[in-house]
Amino acid sequence: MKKQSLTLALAIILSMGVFQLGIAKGTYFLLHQDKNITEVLKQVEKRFGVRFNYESDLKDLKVKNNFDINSLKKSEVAEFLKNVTLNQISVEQVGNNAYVIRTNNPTRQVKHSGKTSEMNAKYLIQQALTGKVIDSSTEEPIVGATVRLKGTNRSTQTDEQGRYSFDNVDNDVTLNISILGYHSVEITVGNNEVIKLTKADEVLEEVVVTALGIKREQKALGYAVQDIKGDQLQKVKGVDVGTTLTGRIAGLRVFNSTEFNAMPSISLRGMNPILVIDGVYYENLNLRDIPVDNIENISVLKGATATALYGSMGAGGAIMVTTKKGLDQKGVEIAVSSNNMFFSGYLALPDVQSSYSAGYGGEYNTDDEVWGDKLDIGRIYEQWNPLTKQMEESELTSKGKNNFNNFLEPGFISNNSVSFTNQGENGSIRTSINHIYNKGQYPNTKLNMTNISVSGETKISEKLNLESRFAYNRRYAPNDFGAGYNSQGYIYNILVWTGPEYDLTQFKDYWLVENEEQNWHYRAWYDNPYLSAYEKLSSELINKLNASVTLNYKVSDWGKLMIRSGYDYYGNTQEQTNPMGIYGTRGGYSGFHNKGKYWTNKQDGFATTNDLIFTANKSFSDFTVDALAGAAVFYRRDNGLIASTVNGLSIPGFYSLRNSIDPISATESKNKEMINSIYGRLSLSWRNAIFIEATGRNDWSSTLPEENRSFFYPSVSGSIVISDLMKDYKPNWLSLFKVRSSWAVTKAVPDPYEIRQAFSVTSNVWDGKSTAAYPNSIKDFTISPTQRDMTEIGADVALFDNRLYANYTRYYRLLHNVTTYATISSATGFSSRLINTEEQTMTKGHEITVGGTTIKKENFKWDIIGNLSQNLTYYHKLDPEYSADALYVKVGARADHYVTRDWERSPDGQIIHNDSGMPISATHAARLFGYSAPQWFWGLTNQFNYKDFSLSFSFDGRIKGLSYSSMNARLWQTGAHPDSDTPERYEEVVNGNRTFIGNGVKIVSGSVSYDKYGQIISDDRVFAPNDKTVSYENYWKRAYSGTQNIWDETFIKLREISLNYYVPSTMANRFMAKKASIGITGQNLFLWTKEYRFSDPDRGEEDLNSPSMRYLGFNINLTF
Amino acid sequence: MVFFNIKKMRKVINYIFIGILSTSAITSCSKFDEINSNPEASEKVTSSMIATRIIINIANQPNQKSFLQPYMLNKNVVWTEFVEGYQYNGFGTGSLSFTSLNDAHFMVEFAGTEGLAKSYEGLMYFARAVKFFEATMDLGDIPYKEALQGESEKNYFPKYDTQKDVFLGILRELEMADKAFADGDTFDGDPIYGGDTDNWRKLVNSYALNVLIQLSKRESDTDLNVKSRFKDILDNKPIFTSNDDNFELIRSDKSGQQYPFYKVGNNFTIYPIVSSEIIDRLKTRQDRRVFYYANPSAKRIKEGKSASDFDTYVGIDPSLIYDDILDIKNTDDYSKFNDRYTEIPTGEPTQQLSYAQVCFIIAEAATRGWVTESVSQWYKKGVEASMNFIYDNTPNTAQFHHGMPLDDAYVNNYVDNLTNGLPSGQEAIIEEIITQKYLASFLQSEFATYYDYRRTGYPKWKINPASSLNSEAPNKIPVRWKYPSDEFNYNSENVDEAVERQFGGVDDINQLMWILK
Repeated sequence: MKKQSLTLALAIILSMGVFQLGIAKGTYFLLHQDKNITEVLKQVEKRFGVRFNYESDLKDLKVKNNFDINSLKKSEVAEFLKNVTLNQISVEQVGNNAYVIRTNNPTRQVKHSGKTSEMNAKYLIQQALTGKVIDSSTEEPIVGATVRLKGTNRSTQTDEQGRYSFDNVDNDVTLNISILGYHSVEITVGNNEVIKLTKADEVLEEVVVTALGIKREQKALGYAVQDIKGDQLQKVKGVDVGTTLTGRIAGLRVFNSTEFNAMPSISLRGMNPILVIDGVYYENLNLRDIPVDNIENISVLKGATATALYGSMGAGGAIMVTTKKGLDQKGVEIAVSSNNMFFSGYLALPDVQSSYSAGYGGEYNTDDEVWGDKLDIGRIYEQWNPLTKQMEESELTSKGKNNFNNFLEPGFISNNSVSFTNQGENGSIRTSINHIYNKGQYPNTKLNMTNISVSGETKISEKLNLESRFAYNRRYAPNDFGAGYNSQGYIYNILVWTGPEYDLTQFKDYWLVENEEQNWHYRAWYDNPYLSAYEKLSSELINKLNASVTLNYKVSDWGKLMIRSGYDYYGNTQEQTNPMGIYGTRGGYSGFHNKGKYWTNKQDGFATTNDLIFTANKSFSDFTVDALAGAAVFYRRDNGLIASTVNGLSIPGFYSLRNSIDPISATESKNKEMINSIYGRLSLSWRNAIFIEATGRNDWSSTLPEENRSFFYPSVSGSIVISDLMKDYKPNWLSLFKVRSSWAVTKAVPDPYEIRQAFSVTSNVWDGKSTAAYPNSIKDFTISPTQRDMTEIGADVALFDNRLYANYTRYYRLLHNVTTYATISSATGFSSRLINTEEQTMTKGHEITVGGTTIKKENFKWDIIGNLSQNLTYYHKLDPEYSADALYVKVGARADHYVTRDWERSPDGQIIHNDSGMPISATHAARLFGYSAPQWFWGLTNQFNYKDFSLSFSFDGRIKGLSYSSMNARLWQTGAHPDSDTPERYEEVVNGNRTFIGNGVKIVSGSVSYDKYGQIISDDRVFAPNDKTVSYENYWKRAYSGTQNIWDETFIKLREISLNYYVPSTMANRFMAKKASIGITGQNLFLWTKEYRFSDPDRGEEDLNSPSMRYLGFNINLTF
Repeated sequence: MVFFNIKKMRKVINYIFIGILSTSAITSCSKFDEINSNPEASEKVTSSMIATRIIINIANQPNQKSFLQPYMLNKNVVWTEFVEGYQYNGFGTGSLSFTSLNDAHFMVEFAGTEGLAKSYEGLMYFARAVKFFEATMDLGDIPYKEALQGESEKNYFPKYDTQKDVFLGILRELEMADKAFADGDTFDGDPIYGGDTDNWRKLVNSYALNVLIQLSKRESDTDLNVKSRFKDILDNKPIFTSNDDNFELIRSDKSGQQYPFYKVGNNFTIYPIVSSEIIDRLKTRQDRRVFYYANPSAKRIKEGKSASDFDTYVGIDPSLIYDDILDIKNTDDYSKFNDRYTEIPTGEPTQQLSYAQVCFIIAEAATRGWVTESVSQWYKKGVEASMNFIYDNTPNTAQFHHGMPLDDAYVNNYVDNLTNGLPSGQEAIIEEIITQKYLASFLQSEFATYYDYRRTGYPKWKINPASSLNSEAPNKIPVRWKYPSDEFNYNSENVDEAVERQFGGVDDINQLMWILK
């Protein structure tokens, strides 16, 4: 071979001229090849961040040397390689960034697991067969690989040098070589051959991050784990990566709020997952604290089995974030990324009538309500003129019909990051700076978030490796006010309770007397919204630091020791100020005070998790043992100090504790918790196709009574890769068929001090006297932890070379021995008792993921991935004493019952009216109306690649699930509802005629009696249509509430869209960049709702939800 | 060389980590109890701190709109925010909670001396009596013997006692309270009487009179012995002798101590209107308290009427259908609260039991022949006490009395002539006494006047079936509240039994409880 290359090199030098000629003529000269394909592949790998997997015999294949890699586009890679090798190879793209290369006329045929191709065997006659197995990338020998002779029962293991040998081998022998972490190969070999195995994650990306940050081969897992690559999350960068995760992972439900500075809330199989970053659990961090550009991968561990090693913390599953670290090769890389998105319309915006003024009884006033006089018909009233700041007579007009729109400001999200990565021989360091700016939809709502992260790896010796990570987060919002009904937000102020007859834009000058009296026309409840925005302030400053150090020590070829310490600290300050003369006293962090207020909340705390883990991996003939043993210590401490002025401020506008009229109030809180643990896992596999494992963890928790302080969590799981077992019989179209099953127990501990019975003391309650109060619940000192038993079964199928794949998981989670505050008769002196209830609930779920490549052509590829999930909870067993005695609490009934009081109704569901024509309140307060959890939630992502363009968009939605539209109810109550602009109202207000009759019936005769559950015992009522004329205004003031406001949340949303263009490297090189892409991005683009009006149900509840904004913008990524 | 050092370092690091982990694990397990004790809560407190909380709990009234709820039911107030249940006789569930007393026994245990322990014991018995009284008055049968034994006896689902047994218990506990206070020393933590046990004895016995008068329909019950108990207290025990003895909280401009309807931070001041049930009766009697309870009608002032003219004061009939109330409101011809309830942080002291009420209780008992006291004397004393209380607690300016002060000259003269207004015939006299008690209790003593109405039918409040929210009996004001739903959900066996024996299985708000039969 060497000789040949030398000859070739010489030939090339000699024939340069000929070569040029050859190009001109468009002909290729085989002789003019002087480069190995490996060299080309390395360059392509480096340029596009892709991986090639190929057989060892390919490495000496020569390529033509006239290629120009700089103008190469990623989409042309396969074609390019075929071209430069003169079609001697076939190239298959596997996933986004990996390719498998095969020779077209091989002398030996390599079969990757799950793939078959025509055998082209070589006939050899031999007695003994020896060979060597090495790693394709490191070329290190692979120890302990199982080598079996196909069609026989004979197998052996590779030795320390990676060597294997067989005696008395027949002709025409095929070897099957397998080991955990590598792709199995079937190969027909000659003697003394070197066989390369490719690491599993390099091709099919089957390795996932599991509990404690340990990477495992996905097919070995008996439980559901789903991962999503960082590049999928980085296409559209909003404020929270949680939003991008919506609909992407089966079983993961994300509720996105439309409110400023509100993080999406994430639930996994109906519980709260923990956040783990690079294997370390951080108590005080959330997804918002990790810039999306730092994310390499997110792996979602869904069931309790997956997280059994985390003990009580992991009961709700885990979101495992792997951050970006070094580069594949030595060198330096600088990446710059910017995504800016701008407000471009509303998906949901509340609507109100603009025909009637504030007031009641058809008369204008500024006491309250919007049941006032008709606008724009020449009615004259004395009104406040905000410009002259005095009362003046003027006509009532609808000049304020756009008040809310005029008050809103366009939102803006700017997400920018720069990272510097330096990869050296023995380590790497990556530094990143990220800044997010978000302008909310209301004045003075601004959020600035900065993150600085440093992570590095150092190879101290051949056996010792150190990883470290450090991150600082700072978040600041000067005013987080404006949402909700009870906090008297802007919709409450502008749309619900005040009318369209004043022009809000004229109230921007909001002072009458600075810091003392506002320029406003109300004397109760409502404040000038501009004053609220700039003077009623609820600011929040969040500082977080987190750091981790991991030391990996390779004890032997089969054993590794890891010591890891994670630490996170936070120091937050919330402040609240308001001037004198305000009327809206609710909301903020602690309510506002009419005479002025300064309030502050200083919180700090830390949590630390320390693990010592020993892992071992060894194979014995067909069996591989993978084991882990570890110990952990978790400790957290949280401190809080809340201080506030009392009874107002002495000096207007001076916001300080020193300015309090009464002695200030100050209270502290201190929470401490510790958990010590030992844990272990033992996994066995047979022929890398049958897997079984068990884990156990024992915790000692500080929050439990001594006798129950120590408790154990077991788990067992198994999986069978049927497709690997049926090798000889496997149909061509089947790539993977795996079945799995698992069972795990998790236990949850109470909060700190919950088992303690101590007095709470309050100072200065009355004339300086302090009070003491005993708790209202009885503590049972023998409580034991809440237990959840999770059982899941599932199957994974891949077909047609992974063109189509599907996963299905069915799970059951039994919640029992629940530590709960059981309601007892409060005549006992206590309202509840801390016990382990006998009531049990069962959560059942389905998770279905289906994906595939719909179209795959030369330059075009269309991938679809979708998922559908269900998570519902049912009563499984009732407690004879402590379960509520109600009809909707029954074994087998859903536990998410929506129980409410309605109007009294006739058997056919019509509202019953009394003699005065008003609806009658139902006799029974608690009636089952429906269920609050969605029946299904789903997501669908499409991705198109065409040459250098890539387009992706994702939809998601929920099906069913009830919530109460506070907006609808309140708009009816106040007279602002757009549907209340009716002829009946006009008659009443303008002409003084009452013409309205409530829709429903009245009772003519007879009566009804109910049992204590509200079921009819006897009913001889006779109904007639309601015929009593009433005031339209007063009818709706009474009838606004009730079940007509309970709406089905079903919706479909176009969550994100991105169109990217990957700039060809020739062009990128012009501005010194290695890689560049530009694109258009959008978030929250389209919404369809089944019943919801006025607001976006995405959040899962409705409390005068702020307008839902559409964002569109652009994205630039540069790598130098 | 370098490698060697690293090797050494590695070992050192290993040892350090293992050391830290194992030592912290071992030492921390033993520290778990310390970790799990809250530095911000205390297992030992002083008796006075519990006493203060208990006294404020039984003496204080809620703030703002909640403060006015009972006075909507008592027809003191018309509410114009929206249709309010109590104004239109819509009743829901009552309360059956004794959680505020679950630490009363600690107050006795933590007392430093025998004498203090006695006083705190007296307070404990009194507070228990008040809480049981309020609960049984609202509901009927309640748990009594097995109540408040959640922690001590692990009795989580107490049985219900008959209302008669509950009243016997209340009267017994009031007796024990009187005895304990008689043996007790002046104690700390009392914001009302400064821990003076003589004052507390007066309160306990006056309260007993109030309990006994509620049993007027059961005056011949031989176990209760209502008449002789009443006479015994009146003859032998200290009771209230002046407004100084009132069971009331004096308000001040301190956080949490201001008058409950003071305007600062109170957006509800725009809704209440004084009821015609109050204003019309005062006008008929030419009683100047109307100038202290209400402000004049804005419309009539505009029309030139004088603020010191009775005719300038206009109440709204709270039973009018809501549409009509709003129509009147739009005419501005109605009386709002007097400024003293909203503009002065100290307002007036909030009473639970006043000397005036005790006078009317004795007058009623005398009318019923329980005691041989002078009806007219106690009746006059009651009116006088009410007027004096108002005068003494109001700034003497026209803003608050509209030029018609309740000064001594007026009060003496008015009271002297009162006997003329006292009708003849027991029933008529009782009506007059209860009506005066009602007029003396404007925005005072929460549900007390409703209890009198329920028992006697006076004052004769207007009932309008067209506006009534009492859908099953629109011509009546309900006579009780329903049991709390938590009792049906969690203590159903016991509450079902109580409902069965009292009301034939229906938790009915229109059926009479034992004391009203």
